[in-house]
Amino acid sequence: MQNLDGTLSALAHPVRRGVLARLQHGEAPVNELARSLRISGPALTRHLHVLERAGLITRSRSAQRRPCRLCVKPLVEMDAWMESYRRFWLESADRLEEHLKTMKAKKREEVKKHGK
Amino acid sequence: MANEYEEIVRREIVTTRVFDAPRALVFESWTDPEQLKVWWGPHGFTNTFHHFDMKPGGTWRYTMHGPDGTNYENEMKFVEIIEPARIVIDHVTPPRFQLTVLFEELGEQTKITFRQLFETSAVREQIQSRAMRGNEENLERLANHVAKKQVV
Repeated sequence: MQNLDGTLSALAHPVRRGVLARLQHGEAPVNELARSLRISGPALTRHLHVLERAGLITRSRSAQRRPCRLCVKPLVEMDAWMESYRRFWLESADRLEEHLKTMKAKKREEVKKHGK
Repeated sequence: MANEYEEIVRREIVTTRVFDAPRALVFESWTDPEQLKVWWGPHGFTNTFHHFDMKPGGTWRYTMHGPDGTNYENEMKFVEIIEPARIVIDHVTPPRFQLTVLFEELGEQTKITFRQLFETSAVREQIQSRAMRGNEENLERLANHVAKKQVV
């Protein structure tokens, strides 16, 4: 979980998000990434290091093309954290729904009483 | 996946729900502390309000009691209250975030949009804290739970 801080920093750049978006469709070699993102090789390499340190991508050491590959685990972890907040709201909304039913019934009762 | 990145980068959670009640009644359930404490928080949680001053700049201090007996202290600050359409609240205790609640009239129903915007630094703090742990093991449970919910 300590990686999550790095995940957030890593995501805080449009080029790096572009790399991740491209890698969703499958692995890609560095030169192809540079071409599709219109960025120089050295600049891209710096961004790839950040992504690699954050555990968001891996780069094959053996193959000559050294393709980059997406790793989703840090994103799943981050999503779990966001999820706990979504849950707060979803469950509060459930309870509000129940509460409103009670309130509506109460109001109906009041109207009935006043009607008599 | 692209949406996920965008959401993370915007640091924002947006949820909407349509309630089968008129807007005035729904708005009242947010502004009346006696009603708010009944439903605020996940299933099994109860609330003790220590201070509730609903006006711009006013504070709302409360303790949320978890089903396992854990207490969570919270402090909020009201930023904006526009009856019956909009409430904006800052969550002062970490993690810092701002809530914007919009109330929209749909005939006899009411649509609520709930936007929760995190401060980047706050997100980092929180991520490093213990509150993070356990979320991973809860992921599947949460995913199942959310899948069952119908979010309109």
